[in-house]
Amino acid sequence: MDEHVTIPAVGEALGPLDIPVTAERVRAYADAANDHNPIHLDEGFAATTHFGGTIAHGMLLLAYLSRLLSERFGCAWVENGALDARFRGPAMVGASVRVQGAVRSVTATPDGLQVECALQCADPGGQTLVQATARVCLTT
Amino acid sequence: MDLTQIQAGFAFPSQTLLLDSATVDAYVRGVEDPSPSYRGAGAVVPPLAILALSMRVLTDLLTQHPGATHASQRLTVLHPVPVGSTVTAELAVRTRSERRGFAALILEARVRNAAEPVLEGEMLLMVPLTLGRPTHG
Repeated sequence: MDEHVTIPAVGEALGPLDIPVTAERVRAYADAANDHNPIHLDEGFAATTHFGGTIAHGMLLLAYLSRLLSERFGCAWVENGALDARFRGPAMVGASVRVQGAVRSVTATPDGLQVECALQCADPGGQTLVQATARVCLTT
Repeated sequence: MDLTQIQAGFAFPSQTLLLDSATVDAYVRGVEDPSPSYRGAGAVVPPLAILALSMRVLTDLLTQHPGATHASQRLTVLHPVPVGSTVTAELAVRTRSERRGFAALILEARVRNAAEPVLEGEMLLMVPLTLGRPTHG
């Protein structure tokens, strides 16, 4: 376990992070992930869909959830983490999202402390856009 | 290739991905993740970067299906991947069914670093059966 990672408590909050989903952020992600689907980038095209505008990549929203995990659990997240996410709705470009979570359980196992977290990404109105469960094992 | 016609068992051509510092730095900047795990000596590749880049073959196809919806995503890290690694990504269709005008595809991603499995992913993709259908979901 990273020396700076403390043992989590059930109910401990992760985040929140409030992130404006700007066109610049979405473009930067599209270039980095090489995902240039026009639904994310082309306002004219996206306006013809029922979204009415461009939306963020779902994988970008997951990356924001991942930030919560890497900040709290350090190397353990990138060494043995697991994520199970459901996309509930789109994040519109130009709006903001709030990502946050909480530790749901901490269980001692022969491999270390198994930590399960509930995570959520929501729009400014509180509507859930992504609901996820993350697991990470903190080894000693 | 028409995603709606892909059947269970179909495997996309495997991809070789060089996860060098330029690629990882661009990703980390794109998602603004300040974690020290992704920087400096001993840096590792963000798991979601590996998964996202492994899906490139799919994202190219998805531009032809603007109504497609990424409904769920699972990710399991088996081993960390050091920056500078070259990994092999395999993507295959595990199941296909049809629901309410959509092809429901469950795809599996498996990533190896040399012979070592390092990451597994699974996603549910809903692809409209009729091209040109308004984007949904």
